[in-house]
Amino acid sequence: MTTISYTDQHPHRTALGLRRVAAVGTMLVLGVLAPTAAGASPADDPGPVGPDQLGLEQPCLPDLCPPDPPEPPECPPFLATCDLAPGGDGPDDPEPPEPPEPPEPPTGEPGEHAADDVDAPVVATPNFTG
Amino acid sequence: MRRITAPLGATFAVVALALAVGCGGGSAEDGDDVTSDATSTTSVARADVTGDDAGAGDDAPAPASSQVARADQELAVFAAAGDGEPAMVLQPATGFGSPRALLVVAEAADWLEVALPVRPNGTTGWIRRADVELRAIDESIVVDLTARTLTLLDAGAEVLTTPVAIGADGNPTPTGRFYVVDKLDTRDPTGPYGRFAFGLSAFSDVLTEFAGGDGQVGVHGTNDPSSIGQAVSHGCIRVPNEVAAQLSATVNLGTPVTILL
Repeated sequence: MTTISYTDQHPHRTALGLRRVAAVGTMLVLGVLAPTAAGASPADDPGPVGPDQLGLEQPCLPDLCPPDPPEPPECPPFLATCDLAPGGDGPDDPEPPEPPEPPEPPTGEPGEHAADDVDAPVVATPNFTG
Repeated sequence: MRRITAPLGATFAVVALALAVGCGGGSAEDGDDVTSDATSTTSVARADVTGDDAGAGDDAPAPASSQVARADQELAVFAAAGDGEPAMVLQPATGFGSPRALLVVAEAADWLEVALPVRPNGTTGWIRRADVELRAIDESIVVDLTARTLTLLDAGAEVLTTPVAIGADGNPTPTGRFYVVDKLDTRDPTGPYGRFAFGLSAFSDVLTEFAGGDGQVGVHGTNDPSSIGQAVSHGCIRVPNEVAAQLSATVNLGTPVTILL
């Protein structure tokens, strides 16, 4: 009678099987122990990602809303870049520019340019008593 | 024509002497047969120039405002208000070409008594109000022969006072109340009259002819500034040239000129 032992019959299979078992065991061990070994803990778990973290607006209750941002300061008067709605309440209309100063009287010899309401002299050679 | 006698104006309180001044050259203004009844003003004291139209005595010898009659056409002059026949006719311009302007010294209904720029000094006549345009004048001039000064006033307020040259003893400057008849621009600032000259309604009591003229007295500049303040002229009133220029810019035809002894 012939006795066939498993070892004898499949020696290479036995070694391969052992290696597989060892590899699987190692993976399992590493899978459980790796986070702990790296310093992580369950408390560090960020949890599920919320919609706000995804850039989506989310309505809030009035009491919990942040205060409204302050109103922008009024534009200084006459600021050219102040863009006001047509017809809106803007700064008062600027004062009209003052009229230019009247021109200086001619600087010629006095009497040569007499005022309009003064009789102009007649060009003539007098023969008064001198 | 009838003759206008002079001086007659009640408001021209002049001292008349029965000495007619020879008028050989005659006035460029009279051109007509205007003569005098032989009254001529040879001296007017301060107190004499105090008529209603002349101001208020020594303190205010110049009126605050005067009326001047302007005519732009021939103007009939009458010896009395209401006359039908004119005593003379004045041309619309003087011999130098100045527009006709007459100082009003009195009014009566539709008539105006005006001082006439004719010999003898102080002659007045009457014109119809409808024949002229009336203008108010605030400027006036006072010449003080004693102080040898000329003062320009505006509405009675002094504008300037300047020393002047007056007539020499032999050719005294006549006194009385006159007015500006001519405003002339000689265009010759270096001449004996300076650049600007003003012919008055006054005439020399001594000279009846001078340099081709009829002895009309004037206020004018000079080419001899050193004469200012002296009694050296032939009767005219010399002022510094800058003052003459200022007067030319201010004074109108008809501006009263009161010459005080």
